[in-house]
Amino acid sequence: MGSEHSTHVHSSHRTASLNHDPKQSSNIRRQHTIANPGGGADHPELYDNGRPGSISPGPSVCSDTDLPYISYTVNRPIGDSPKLTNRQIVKTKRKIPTKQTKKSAHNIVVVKPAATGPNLDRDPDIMRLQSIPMFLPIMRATLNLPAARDPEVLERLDPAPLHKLCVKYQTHLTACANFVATEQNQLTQKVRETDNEIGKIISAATDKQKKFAKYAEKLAKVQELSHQLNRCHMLLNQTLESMETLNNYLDIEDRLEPFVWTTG
Amino acid sequence: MASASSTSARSLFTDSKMRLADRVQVNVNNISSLARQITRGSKSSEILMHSARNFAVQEHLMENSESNLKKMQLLCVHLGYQHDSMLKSAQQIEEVKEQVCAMQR
Repeated sequence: MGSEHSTHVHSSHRTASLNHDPKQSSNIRRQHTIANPGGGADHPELYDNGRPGSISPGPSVCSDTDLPYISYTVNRPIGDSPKLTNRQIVKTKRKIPTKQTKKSAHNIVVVKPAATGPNLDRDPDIMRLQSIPMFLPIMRATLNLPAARDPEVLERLDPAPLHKLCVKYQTHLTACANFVATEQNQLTQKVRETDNEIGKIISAATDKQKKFAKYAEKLAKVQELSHQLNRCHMLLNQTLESMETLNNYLDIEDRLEPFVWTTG
Repeated sequence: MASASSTSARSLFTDSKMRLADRVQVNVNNISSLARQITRGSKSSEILMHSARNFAVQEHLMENSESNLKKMQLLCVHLGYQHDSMLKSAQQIEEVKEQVCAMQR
């Protein structure tokens, strides 16, 4: 099984690193800052030197085929005998008893007490974990006990502020939507007005253009007039010349008087 | 571990997982219904949809305006031509007057 395989790896890690325990004082010091201010050092024993600084179980402990934490606690005992860890108060809250498996020799682990002092550098992640407020689990009941206190969570939650917040958000959304809608309506009005104006302007312009066309046509007659005047003038001159020549062809007695053009 | 206890443990575990999943589902459903109430209650989407639809109607008007403006541009050019021709004709009137005077002599 996958979980047992991984714990086997972890146990081999542990036996190798158990001998280096006293040298890793910094690790041990770090571990002791995990301790809750209220509850003693519950968890330091759970750590494994394979992953210093972590108190969570290994990666594949919670497999689907096992209850959680069984193989984790069964295959990884704290030490050879509980007597060795009496320096810190051990509060085991596990329901399943731990088995003591015999390793090669009697590896006695002596653990230093928790390091205190103001100049201790605390792990920032662990400080953040400690600052998480207490919260209730989702499922209040165990598997066998029916949940008699389920609505307790809802009773503790005061709905009034949440309701106020939601109502405020709702009104805010409505106000924003109304604002946007009024602006859009104004824009629509302006577009309509602009379209009307353009329509009026274009009708006026077409009227003007028609009138101008008529005027231009009329005025263009002036050019025709001048053409015709020119022709008239030329014809008149020709007529006068031809009259002169005709007059000169006549005998002197029959000649008329020279033609003078007088305006009436 | 005896196989019997492991099977019972397995069933317990699946049972607890199912119950946890149910509780989580209830919570998620509640939150989603709250969110839906907020969005529906504010009617923001309806209002915005109305305004968007009204604005879309103006599209036709705007096309109208654009075509009218283009026609107006052409009209302007025509008017310019007519103005030029009228100016020329007006100037020719002067010449014609002189011609008439010359003819009268």
